[in-house]
Amino acid sequence: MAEDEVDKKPGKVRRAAGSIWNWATTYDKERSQQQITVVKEAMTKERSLPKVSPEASIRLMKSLSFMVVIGGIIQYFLRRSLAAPEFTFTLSLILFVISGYALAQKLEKDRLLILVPMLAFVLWYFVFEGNYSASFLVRFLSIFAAVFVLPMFYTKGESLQAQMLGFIPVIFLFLDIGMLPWLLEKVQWNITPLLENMVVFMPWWALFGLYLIPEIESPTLSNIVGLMKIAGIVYIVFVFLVPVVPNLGYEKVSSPVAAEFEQAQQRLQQSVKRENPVWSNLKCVLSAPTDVENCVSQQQEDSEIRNLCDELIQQGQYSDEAVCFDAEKKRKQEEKLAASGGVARNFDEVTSAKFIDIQKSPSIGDKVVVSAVLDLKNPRNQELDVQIGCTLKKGSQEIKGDTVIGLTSAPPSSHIILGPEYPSFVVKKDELIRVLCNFPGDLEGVYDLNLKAGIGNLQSTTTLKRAFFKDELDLERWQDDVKQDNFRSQADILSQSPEEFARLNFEFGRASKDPFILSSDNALLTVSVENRQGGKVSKINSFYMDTLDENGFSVRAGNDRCLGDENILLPADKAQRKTEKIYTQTCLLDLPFDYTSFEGSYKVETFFATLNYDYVLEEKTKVEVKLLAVFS
Amino acid sequence: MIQKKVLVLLLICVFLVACGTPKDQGPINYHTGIKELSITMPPSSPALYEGSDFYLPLQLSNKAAYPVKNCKMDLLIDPAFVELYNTQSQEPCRDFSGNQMPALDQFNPAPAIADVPFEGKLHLLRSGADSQDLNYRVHLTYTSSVIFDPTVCVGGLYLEVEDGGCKVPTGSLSYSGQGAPVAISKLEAVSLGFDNPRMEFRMQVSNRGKGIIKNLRLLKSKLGNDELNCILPDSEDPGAKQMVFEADKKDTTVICLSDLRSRASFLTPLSVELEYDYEVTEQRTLRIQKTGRAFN
Repeated sequence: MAEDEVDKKPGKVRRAAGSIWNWATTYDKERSQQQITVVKEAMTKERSLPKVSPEASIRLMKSLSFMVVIGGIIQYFLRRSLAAPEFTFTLSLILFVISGYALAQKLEKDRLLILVPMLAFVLWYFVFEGNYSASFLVRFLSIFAAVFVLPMFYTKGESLQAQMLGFIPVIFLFLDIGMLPWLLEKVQWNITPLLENMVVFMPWWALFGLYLIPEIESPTLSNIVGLMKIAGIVYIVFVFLVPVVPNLGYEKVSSPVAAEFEQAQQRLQQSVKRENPVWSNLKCVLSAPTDVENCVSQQQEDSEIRNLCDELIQQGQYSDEAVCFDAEKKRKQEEKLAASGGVARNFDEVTSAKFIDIQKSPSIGDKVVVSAVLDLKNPRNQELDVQIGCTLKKGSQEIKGDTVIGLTSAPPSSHIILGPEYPSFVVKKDELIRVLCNFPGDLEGVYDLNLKAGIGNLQSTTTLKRAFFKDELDLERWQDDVKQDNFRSQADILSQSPEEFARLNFEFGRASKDPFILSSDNALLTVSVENRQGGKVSKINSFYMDTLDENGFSVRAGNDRCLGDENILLPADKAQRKTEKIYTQTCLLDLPFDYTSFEGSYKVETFFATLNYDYVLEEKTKVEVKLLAVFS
Repeated sequence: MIQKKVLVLLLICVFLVACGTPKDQGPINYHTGIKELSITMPPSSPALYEGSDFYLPLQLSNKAAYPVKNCKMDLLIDPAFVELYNTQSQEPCRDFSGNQMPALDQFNPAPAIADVPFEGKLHLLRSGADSQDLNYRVHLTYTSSVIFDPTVCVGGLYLEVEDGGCKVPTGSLSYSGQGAPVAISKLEAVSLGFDNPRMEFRMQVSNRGKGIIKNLRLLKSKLGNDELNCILPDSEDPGAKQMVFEADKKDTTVICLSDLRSRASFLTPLSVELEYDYEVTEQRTLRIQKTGRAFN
């Protein structure tokens, strides 16, 4: 009989699909309590049943928490597949609303109370676009506080718990839509494996939904749900088991918008191409139970290399997977020893270039014309040699186009007309360079358009800070102060340069990632040039360890050209990947007198090094050439 | 009836308090509390432009009740960004007229102030960055002293017997400081021996200032007119009457012994003078901004 009563009141689920306002205002607490009592009675009655009753299964499937679990799993896989980011984001928002409802259902709390912080967050984040100016926050938080406190007065404080619970879905939404990747990118957090795993391998909503599933009358179903919850815990443990949390500093925080979160999430998802740590852990627990940690790290690295080899084989760089695997593994080992660097944040704008406004349906006349614009940002007014070229490709057929270049700073009459040899021209400031690619008029069909921009004479400066101490006693006495003033985070220990096309990394000291040098030490210098974009460093014109050289540091052992070299040619046919260290050097330095004997207990100094290089940017897209009847 | 008596008594009290003449407070005791030589620095993050002159107007102000000597001040700033004309000031603790900064006392009730400017030139930002935040630190080292001179009760071996003198307190007495960053914060006096009566004084020396003690030396120790036999038990050589302080050490103990001529209790001045080398460090940040120059 009780079950009948429950079935006659199926409105709960349907109401969730209605508007939030409707849901919030039509809530009838008394009626809901009655329902809960009836359900509980029914559950007690059915507890003796040994097998899964169809009604119980239906009720479970209809429960909102179950919807959150299923929706969360779908959303997780969509995100992993990098498909339809807008849909993924919308799904996150829907799950956010449903989870609030499910939370109220699970904890038998008033939905309206749980809604208050959720609604406030939605208003702040989406309506006011995360405005974090002090004056706005004062006003907003005052109003929020008033709204927050009102129910507490009315219920004599009883509502506080429910209101606080409303922050839980807010936290999950933040985690899910990409707060962590955004922080990783913007706030100079070093991307640790833990953080990567939290972003890439955590199905936040599914896990939240799992813990929102209410008590189930059927013991079998209850056991299944219990097992799923245990599996959820095991999953979290395995995801977090691999890495160790490092002690990192953090810097200023500013409020991002949702789109930035989502883009950051996408970028990180794309860059992390390794095996899910859960599987690595499971495999290692079974295969190497005595050395799980090393085994997992090896598994993760190997999976990353295998994924990379798949790509490289597709690109035609390798034909055999085993050869690729061995070569890339060796390269990875070498890269681990090479100097690393970080991004300097004290540049308002950096040198950058990208093709925009590519006209994909070329105009037809006696020539096929494709137009595009190269948006070149040159904030430091460097004298850049620029070359632009374009080709159309279909199967084995490759057609080189003539280019007409127009600089926005020059009047139309002074457009530079360039032939197929692509002679270079100099750009000394920010430019929107118009490119017209002319191809023969007898083309038809879909072609791969390849736009290339060679930018020469790019220069960037790298800085590295090091602290010199006279002896161990001074080091012991002052290292905390020096660390506090100069090396608060891992990023401060590394060399830093603006995030442009490539960067020069260098480290020197007693050991890698150790910023303290004693007067009695020999300093090991490691240098690397790292590709930072999707293009290619075509030539290293020069690199110099300016300050090291000027201040009298000399090479004791190792490569003499460690402190500087010129005209370094790189293999023309070898593709480069983003973050690949394409050039490395190592040597041992002697410290000059000024760094072994000085006034005071220590000295901290910044060293500069410069890199001059040429870079090739490439943009590939498909264009369709239609042969119009009038010209046929 | 009782109520009326209470009321009258209260009224008398009010009149006595209200109509009484204020008691002369006497001269101010500067040898109390924690006071020290302090550095006044400009606030963090003043915006300076690359290539411009660098001027850091530091000031020293002696708020302690003792004079300072061997004063030295260093400015530690990254030479890649600032070329300093003077990285060190050897005699910073001199006032406007060039005299050694006096201690705070009734003749110098206001703290003496010394200007210690550091000058230099900001380099151009070689990296081409738009700005550069620069942390710099000032180290000040000096030597000063502190005198602890309470009146103490000595003798009184028969603790429960009233001998008409004073009573040596059981346990330790706390002190708020003697007008210096280094303070004798606790004193415990213990009567020892019967046939050969002695007093032992255990004094806790604490660093209550903003800096660190580098060295501590025991200069004088007297009970009345008699020299005390003192040791520094934390020192490598406890009998040497001086010790090197580890950077994180905040306290140490001085133990002094005195033979007494009689067993009778009496009040007498105890006087202990300590000299210390002290180091203070302050950190600030400044921001160097790019001018409108072209790169290279």
